[in-house]
Formats: sequence, structure tokens, C-alpha cells
Amino acid sequence: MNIIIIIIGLVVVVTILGGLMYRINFSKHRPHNIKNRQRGQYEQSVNDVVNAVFDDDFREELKNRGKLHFETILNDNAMFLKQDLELTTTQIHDYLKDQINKNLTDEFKNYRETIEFAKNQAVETIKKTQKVLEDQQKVLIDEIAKQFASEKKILIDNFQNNMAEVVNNYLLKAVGGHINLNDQLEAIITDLEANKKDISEDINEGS
Amino acid sequence: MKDPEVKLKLTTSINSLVVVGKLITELELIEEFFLKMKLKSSLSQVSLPTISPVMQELTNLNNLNLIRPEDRANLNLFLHFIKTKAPTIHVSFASIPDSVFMQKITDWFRSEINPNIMLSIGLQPNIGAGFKIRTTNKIFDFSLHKYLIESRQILVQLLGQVKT
Repeated sequence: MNIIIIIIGLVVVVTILGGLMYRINFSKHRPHNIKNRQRGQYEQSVNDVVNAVFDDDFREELKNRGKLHFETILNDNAMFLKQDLELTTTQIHDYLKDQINKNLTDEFKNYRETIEFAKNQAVETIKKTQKVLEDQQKVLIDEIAKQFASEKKILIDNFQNNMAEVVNNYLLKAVGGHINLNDQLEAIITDLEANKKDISEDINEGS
Repeated sequence: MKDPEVKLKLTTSINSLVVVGKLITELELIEEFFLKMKLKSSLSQVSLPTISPVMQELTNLNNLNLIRPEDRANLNLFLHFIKTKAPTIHVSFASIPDSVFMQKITDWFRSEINPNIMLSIGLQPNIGAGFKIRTTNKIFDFSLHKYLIESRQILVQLLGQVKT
């Protein structure tokens, strides 16, 4: 609004000055020539009028008005700028917030996918390893069972083959030294009587 | 085997060729003594041989007088016959038999098999009990060890029943 008033004021001053200049020039071409002396007086008068219109107070007033208007404009613009800045800041903040949320969401999604993939891979690997271990365990159990059966058979066979000898040796060592020959005499004589014929034939006729 | 011309009886204590060998040596000393008695003028130069209980028992059993040269000759001939011609049987026991046991065994062999038989006693602790006889051509095993081996199948069956 103030700018408009100032512009109108300037237009008025320029119009006045233009009118004065036109009058001066028009009077030179008039048929009845004005004398140089009068023309000098006119010019002086114009200067005086101009100096009277644009005096120091007027200039100061214009200066103050301009200053005030400029400050007002500056304040308004500062306020607008502040509002715009705050709005922009808010928008930037929201934008950054959205971007960060979006990035974080994307990253978390990627992380979740990666973790899920790794988890699936690990589970798959564990399943495969478990299956291999179970297979190996089964093979091992079968092999151990076979070896155990084989060892058992060998032990049983050895036991059956040797246990009689072991029992024999045990009996002989356990009771052999404790059987008195005199107690065996009757049995010995009985055995000799039973084989007397063979012994006699071999002794008396064999040589 | 042909019987000797001189028939004497053996005592049960003379049951091995070792004893026979000792008796032969003892008889040779006695013969040597009488030979020296003929050759030596002084008794101090000869020593009286000792007569073992086995020799004494043998001479008493056969009514021999060793002072008489014929008896000494007969005994010498008989002992050499025994040493060279008497049948010998090897008998093994699980432990060393005592004299009473040996006397009974010797009596049985001489009464039932041959009156001049000699015994060679062996020791085999592994037979446990019983005895083993080895004659000229045969081996008779009457040991507990053999009985146990023969009964091994029965033992295996019995242990198998216990196992099941």
C-alpha cells in the first residue's frame, strides 16, 4: 500500500516537473520572444519551487517513510520467511522422517529377509546334517550290531570250544593235588583188572 | 620171553631197574670182598661190605647165603637177567606214590601180569587223578584228564543248558 502511495507521489512530482519544462521550452518558440532576463527568473523560480517541494524535511520524511516501509516489508518478509522456513523445516523433517522410516523399513525388511534366508539355510543345513548323522548312525549301529554279533559268535564258539578244556584244567588244578593216591588205589586196581588181558598180552607177547 | 635157568623171587621193594642196578653193584662189592679175602693175607687190608636192607630182604626171601659162591653166582645171574630181560612198564601218577602204594601196585603187576616185571614211575601232575601206563607197544590212559576230555561233549551240553 505504501509503495503505491510513494509511486503516486513520484508520478505527481514528475508530472509537475514535466509541466514546468514544457512551459519553459514552449515560451522560447513563442512569437513574442521572452527576454533572457525573464527566462533566468523563471528558471530560478523553478529551482526555488523544486527546492521548496523537495526540502530536507520532505526528504527526511520520505527517508523515514521508506525506512519504515522497508522495515515493515522486512518484518513481513521475515515473518513469511520464518513461516516458510518453519514449514519447510517441518516438511523436511517429515520428509526425512518418512525417508528414514522408509529406509529403515526397507533395511529391516532386507534384514528380516536375509535373516530368514540365513535361518532357512541354517535349518536346511542342520536338517541335512541331521539326516547324514542319522544315516551314519544307522550304518554305525548296523555295523556295530554286525561286529557285536560276530564277536559274540566268536566268543561263544571259543567258549564252547575251550570251556571244556578250561573246566578240565580248572578241575585238575583244583582237585588234582588233593586226591590221595591211596584213596585211588581201589579204582586203579579196578581199571587194571579191566584191562589186564590187553596189558598182559602186550607185556608178555608183544616184545 | 624165555625164563631164566635160575628162578628167584623178587621182593616188592625191588620194583625198578635202578634198584636192580644198585643190587648188582652191591653184589659186585660183595664178590670183590671175597676175592680180596682170598688174595690178602691180612684182614686189615679189606673192608667188610655193608648189606643193604633190600639185599637182605631178597636173600632172605630166596634162602640165599651170600657167603656161598653158588648163591652169589645165581643171584648175579638172576639180577643181570632181570636188568636185561625183565619187562618194564612205565606208570605215571599225578603225585609221587608212597612205598605202601607202590608195594600194592607192584604186587598186583607181578601176580597178574609177570612175576619179574619192573616199574618205571613217572610224575604227570596234569592228569589230575588216576594213572597212565605205557607198555612196549601201547598206552593205557586211566587218568581223570582223559575222562574229562571224553566227557567234554556232555559238559558242553550241560553248560549250554545252563546258558539258555
